[in-house]
Amino acid sequence: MWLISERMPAALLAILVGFLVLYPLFWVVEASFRTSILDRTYTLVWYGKVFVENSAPTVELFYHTVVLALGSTLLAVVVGVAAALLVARTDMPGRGAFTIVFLSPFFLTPMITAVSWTLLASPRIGLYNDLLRWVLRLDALTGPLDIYSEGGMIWVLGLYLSPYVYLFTSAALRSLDPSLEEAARMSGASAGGTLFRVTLQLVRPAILSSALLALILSFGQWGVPAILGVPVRTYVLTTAIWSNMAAWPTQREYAAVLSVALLVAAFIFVWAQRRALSGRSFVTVTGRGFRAPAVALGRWRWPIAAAAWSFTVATGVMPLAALVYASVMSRWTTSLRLDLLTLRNYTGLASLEPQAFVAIANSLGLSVLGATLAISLSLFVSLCITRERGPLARILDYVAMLPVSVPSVVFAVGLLMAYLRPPLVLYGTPYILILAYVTLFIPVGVRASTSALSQIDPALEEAARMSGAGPIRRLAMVLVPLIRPGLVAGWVLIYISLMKEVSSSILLGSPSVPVNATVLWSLWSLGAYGAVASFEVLCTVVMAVVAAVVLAVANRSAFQVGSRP
Amino acid sequence: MSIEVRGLTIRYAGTAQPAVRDLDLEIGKGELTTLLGPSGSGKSTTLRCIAGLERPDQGTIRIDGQIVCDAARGIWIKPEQRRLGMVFQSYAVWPHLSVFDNIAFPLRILGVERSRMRRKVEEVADLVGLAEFLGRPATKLSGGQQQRVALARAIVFEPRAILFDEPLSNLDAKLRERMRREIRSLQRRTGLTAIYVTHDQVEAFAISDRIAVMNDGRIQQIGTPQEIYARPNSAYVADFLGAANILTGRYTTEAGRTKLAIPSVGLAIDLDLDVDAKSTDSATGLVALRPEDVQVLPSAAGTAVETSVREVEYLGRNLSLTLESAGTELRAFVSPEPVPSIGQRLWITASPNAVVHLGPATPREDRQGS
Repeated sequence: MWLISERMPAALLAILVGFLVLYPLFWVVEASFRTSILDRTYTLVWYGKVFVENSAPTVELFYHTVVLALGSTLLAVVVGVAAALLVARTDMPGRGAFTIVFLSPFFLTPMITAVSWTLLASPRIGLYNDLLRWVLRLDALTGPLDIYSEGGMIWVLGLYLSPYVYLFTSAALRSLDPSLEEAARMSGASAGGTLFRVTLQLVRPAILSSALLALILSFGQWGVPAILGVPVRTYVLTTAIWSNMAAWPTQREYAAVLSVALLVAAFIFVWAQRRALSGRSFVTVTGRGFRAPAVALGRWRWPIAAAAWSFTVATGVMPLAALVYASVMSRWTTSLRLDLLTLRNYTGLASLEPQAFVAIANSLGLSVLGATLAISLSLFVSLCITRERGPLARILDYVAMLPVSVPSVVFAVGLLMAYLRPPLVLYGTPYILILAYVTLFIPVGVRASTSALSQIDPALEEAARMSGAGPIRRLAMVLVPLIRPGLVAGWVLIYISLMKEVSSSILLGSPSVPVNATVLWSLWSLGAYGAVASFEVLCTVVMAVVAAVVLAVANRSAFQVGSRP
Repeated sequence: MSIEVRGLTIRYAGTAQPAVRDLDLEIGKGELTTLLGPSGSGKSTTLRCIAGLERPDQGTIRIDGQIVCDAARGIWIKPEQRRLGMVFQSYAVWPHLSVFDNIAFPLRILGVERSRMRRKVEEVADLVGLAEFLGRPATKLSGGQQQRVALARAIVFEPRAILFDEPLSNLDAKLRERMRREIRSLQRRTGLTAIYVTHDQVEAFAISDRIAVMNDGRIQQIGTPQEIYARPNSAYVADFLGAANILTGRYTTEAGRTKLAIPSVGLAIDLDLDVDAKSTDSATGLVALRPEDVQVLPSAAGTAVETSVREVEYLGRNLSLTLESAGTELRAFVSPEPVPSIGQRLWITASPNAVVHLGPATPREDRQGS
């Protein structure tokens, strides 16, 4: 009873999650008004410094941030929607394989995608620049592409975000009642006319929602602007906050003011997203296994397939290939030089960066622990949200979704400010990372477990109640076995995200607790391309192997039928 | 009394009307009582309050004399401690367990020793005709078989009563009739007290010892199926049980004989029998005339009233006619031959025995009867 229908656990959970999220943010806001770390008086002087004294650089900072966010979102929408339409609505050949290739960059952190792109589009050493100079017969030694630019950042981040748009849009397209499109055809609309006047209009909420998600993610993105912007001194809010926190001399109050600005911007976007989606149902779901009618591309079938494949190979496969290639070369070269092949980048990794393997072990352990804690906490939150009627459930739902609107960098700044001081000094321990990981991924876990729970007929649990089962046995014998596939999927999603996490890890990792992100950054700062590449290949292999093992074990035993005793 | 409900009231947040209001219900040992009503009448809510799956705002519930719920005194026994079996509309058979494990679940909770549990499960499975399916995954069963699993699970732990929440409405018509008979015979053999919720009056008539017709969160009438059909106490009940023509009648007494006039249609009927004094002590009252009791004549005769045919529906065994007289429409069932044409003139009359007297008209019933 205490678990499922009394008010107490819901209230306690709301307080716990609220504390996890809001306590660090409180110290960010506090620091932004504080005279200095040693002086407990409050002032607006830091806001003055940021917005008046340094108004010119601040305006530039906001300009770069907004251009990066809008530009990458636009690119992500164009690419993601086009790919979704090709796969879900046309007879383009090889759609299944295309989907896999198109989604593969999703498994890399955008920071490492950015590193890969430097191999392809650096002014001097980029493979694509070499090719273009040769094709266009240019005499220059650099260019024409420059990945270290605002455009380069938009390109890399937009491509990284396009799978989000793709996934939302193709899910909506798949659940669209095909008779809505057939009705347009019967009313005389052409295939193209139906696409633009009916299909796209019907999935517009999904596109809008994924676009706003992409916008929120791009605002909080640290990895891409750190790799591609910082070397040419183009800063956005996240990298500016990080450099004020991490680079000597630290300016924590300055970072706090910028954090507050980023937080406000993120809250506005999340609010806009909820508003844009409120009262709007997604698409009509039939629940029947209709195959949606494919648009026959006719004589364009092969040219379109060739274009789509070239694009996804050039933007998705090539960066990965370049990364793997770089990891086995003694130096980066755009030509195929078998004499440079070496395993030194792997064997010498530990001597170059003694903490490399410790970091992988730390990240693995912290990700497994973080995903497990986050999904467990989320399960209880979801139980309360779905079982509880009335305002308490709504409050809990709202609080659990709060981390969505908190950029990871800002949250990390808050954790540093909250847990560098007594009573709880957590900096330099793994606990501060666990706190960040669990809190930031509660929304993902709650979404996964709520959707799993909402697909369970309430009568299945009620039947257990009528059979005499108390709350713990209902949870253990009925609910958890029934929603296990959903919980496992949620766990894997959080685990993969945590293995890739850089935005908060870069600030919260420390010499005593190195993680993937901190080692990656230090290798990158050394300019050791080969080591960066080999380290990232190792991280990805470890991540994939563990995820595959977990999925295999969980799926094999899922819905195993109990035998007769 | 096996189950006793007093003053049950439950209100859902955000709704103006309570779902159930001030409801009293008594159910005798071994009796099968049906709560019959349209959706939203509060029948499922009442059942779920008895089960303990909903917590009422007011009222007391006793099972075998034990108070399981007394809102005023804050007494509340959790559903898992009430020892009631329940069969759900969606069957609620657990897909991750085998048929055996589904049925054995309540016994496992009770900690019944293995060999006894196995004996008991086999005995119950035999009773519901599932003996050879015990090792199967529950998801590999048809709808009817799943419903049998649910039934077996509900009776295996010898509950104090068994609750049925629209158990047959997901089955097709033929299977529904068969399961209905099986449920009834199982209930008779086990002697279990049962409450059965349905919106289907045919099902209610077939299965029940007593029927409680529900309307707007209240019991409108309770009685045996025969009582309810023969003497509905309101236009609502008469209408719900058989799409009756509800009309306003005027009673007059002339030389010791009571006459009933129905001005809206123009019918006048000699009531040569004794009508319940209660029904006729006021001058006007509502009467119900079932479609099958309207006599349709091809030509004028006696006091028969002239009507014209508005609609003809072919129902197989008979024809349903919509007849109009003086602006009032009436439904009548007639033999399928010959088929009258639209606009044709027909004459109607009704035998005095066929008229159901519903008592004085209240504005409320007028609205619902129309």
